[in-house]
Formats: sequence, structure tokens, C-alpha cells
Amino acid sequence: MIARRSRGRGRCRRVAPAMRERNSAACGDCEYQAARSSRRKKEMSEHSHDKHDSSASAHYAHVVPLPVLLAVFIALMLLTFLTVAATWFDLGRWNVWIALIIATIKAALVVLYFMHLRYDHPFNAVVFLSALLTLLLFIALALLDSTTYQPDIRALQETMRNAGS
Amino acid sequence: MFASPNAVIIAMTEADQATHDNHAPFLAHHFDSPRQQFAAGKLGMWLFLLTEILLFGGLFCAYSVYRANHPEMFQDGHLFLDRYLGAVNTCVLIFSSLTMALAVSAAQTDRRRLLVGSLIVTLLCGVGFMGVKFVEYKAKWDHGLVPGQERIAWFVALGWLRKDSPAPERGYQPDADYVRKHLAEHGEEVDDAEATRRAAGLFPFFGCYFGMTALHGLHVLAGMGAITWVLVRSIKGHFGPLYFGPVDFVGLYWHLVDLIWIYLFPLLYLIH
Repeated sequence: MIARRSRGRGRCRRVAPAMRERNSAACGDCEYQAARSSRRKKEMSEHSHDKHDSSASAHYAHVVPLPVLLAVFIALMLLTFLTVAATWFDLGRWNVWIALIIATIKAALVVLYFMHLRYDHPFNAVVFLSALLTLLLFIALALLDSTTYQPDIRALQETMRNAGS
Repeated sequence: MFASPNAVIIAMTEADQATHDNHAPFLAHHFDSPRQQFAAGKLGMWLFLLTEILLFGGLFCAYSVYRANHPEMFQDGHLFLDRYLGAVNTCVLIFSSLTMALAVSAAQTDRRRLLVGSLIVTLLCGVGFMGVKFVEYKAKWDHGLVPGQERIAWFVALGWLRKDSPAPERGYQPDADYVRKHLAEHGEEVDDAEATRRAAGLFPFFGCYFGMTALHGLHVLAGMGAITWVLVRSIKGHFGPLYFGPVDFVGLYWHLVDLIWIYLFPLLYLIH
């Protein structure tokens, strides 16, 4: 918990100042504190600080800064272009792997920034990764016998290529 | 198991302050604070997304097996898809993910106009995506490439009410002449017998294509429904820095739909 909190704060400091102000507005306790009457304000602020340090109730949501969102968007567009452009070159059996690697980079960008997982509670990342690992296991087991038929498949493709030309 | 009376009183007081003094009308009574409510909702959403990934995972499994064992069918099949329409749809979904992420930021920072605007743009992107999908599906239907097309048409036309029209035979036989012409356009001349064989071979590819994109399309529709719900609530002014969970959770769902399309696009349209 302590490690996570300090990491979260470290990130907040890198955020643009205007955004940092908004960020603090997103903090439930600060809002709570601001809603106090001025007479009790000082007392409550001390209470609030105690709470920050004792129960890990720092900002309960991280606002992803606009420049980061835009940069991720531009990167996703460029990668989309790249994956289409990759089909103009024939790299044999690497074609599918290049397409999958580009898709995985795009997916990682979406998950980390659009879906906030980089700033989120680590347990949510554990949930997400366990789904991916299970899926990998499913696909790997389903493909166990696929190499068995590769010689036949290659022979068939050879025949088709000859028939086509 | 049982908290001390003091702890209970403190928890109750905090909840009380949060609901009354702090004007957090959407804080459910079984949560101590908006933060706790948000964290619980978010964990629930990630668990739901886990089931979604595994739901699509079954289809990705089927795809992998068919493609590994019948690569030639997939090489043929992708020639019948328009990769530029697929690319346009990819861009539309990525842009809608950006506006959805903007909507979440807007809710967190209490900018209602930006929130409503972003949600409307996201919704319009969903409409655009489904529009392109409709154009693509329509073309496949017109060329007779949909698996079970005749039976679907028979059911849609209420064929079961007309006793004299028997259900069409099972089978997948796209028009061989169309397939031959289409292959010729892509620089491969084949004779009629070969065209018939290749036409029948499109079945596994279009089975995967329609299975995966239709399930994905249903998810886009469901996401659009959820965005409409959040849009109505944001117009009513329900969301702010202390309560933006629904915007965030619908956003997560929408991004997952985008994520799945990011894989579907190269796997279906960009085979070579």
C-alpha cells in the first residue's frame, strides 16, 4: 500500500500544474475538506492529512493529462498505418507475427493509458493479466497438433501456387 | 469479524458526513467513502472484462486452429474483405476511445460541457462504425458469402409460415463465378472446378469473420446503449469529482471493445 501511494504521488508531480490542481479537486478528501465551514477548516485539514498518511486515501482517481491522451491517440493512428503498410511487403511467415506485435503494442497503449491501468490499483492489473495468461494457455493447447500437418499444408500451398501461375 | 462499537460509530459518522455535508447523493449506504465505492466498482468492472476477454477467447481459439490448419482458406478469404474500410473503422474506434477517455477526465474535473460533448462524439463514432459494418455486411450478403445465408433469408421471410416452401438445403456454396472473377481481379486465373473448390473453402474464413465481427458488433451496440445511459445522467449533472464511476466503467468497457477490434482488424483484413 505504501509503495503504491508513493508511486502515485510521484506520477502526480509530473503532471502539468493546471492539471495537478484539477487532480487535487478529484481527491475526495480535499473536496470533503473544502466543504467544511471556515471555522472548522484548519482542524479538518489536519484531520485530512492524517487520513492521507494513515489510510492510503490519496487521490482516488488519477486524471490522465490531455497531452498524454493525445500522444497515445497519435501513436495508435501511426501504428494503424504501420500495420496496413506492413502488408505491402511480403515477409513470409513473419507477416502474421509482425501484425500481432503491432496489435499488441496498440493494445498495451490502450490498456495502460486509456484504461488507466498504469495508474490503477495493481490488483486490477493482476485480474487483467490473468485473463490474458489463461487465453494464451487456451490458444496454445488448441494449437498443439497444428505442426503435425504442416508438411501437408505446405505441399497443398505449393500445388495451389503452381496451379495459379 | 465484528468491529468495535467505536469503529462502527466512526464509520457511520464518516458516511454521514460524506452523504449530507459533502453532497455525495450517489454514495451507496454500504460504502464508507466515494473512494471505496469507486475502487469496488472498478474491481468489479475489471472482473467483468476478464469474462469478456475469455468469451472472445473462445473465438480467437477457433480462429487460431482453423488458420493454422487451413492457411490457404484464410489467404483466399481476406481477398473478399475491403482492408481500407477495415482501416477506416479502426481509426473511428480509436478516435472514439480518445473521446471516451476525454469524457472520463471531464467527469473527474467537473467540466460538464466537455463531458456531454465527448460522450456525444463517442456515440456518433459508434454509429459510424456500425454504419461501415452494415455496408460491409450488405456487400457480403449480396455476393452470397454469408454462411447459412439461404436459411437465414428463409427464416427472416417467415418461411415457416409457408408450408409449401421447404427450408433450403444446408451447405455453403457461394457463387463460383463470382469467386472466379474476384480471384482474377487479384491476379489469379482459375478454372471453374477450382473456383467451385475455392468457393467452398471460404466457409471457415467467413464463419470466423461473421462469428467474431458479429459478436464484436453486438458489443459495440451494447456499449452505445451504456454510453447513452451515461450521457443522460451527465446531462442531468450527476457526475463530478466525487462521483464519476459509471463514466469510468462504461469507458473501460468501450476501450475493451476497441482493444478486441485492434486484434480483429489485422487477423481478418490484413492476411497476406
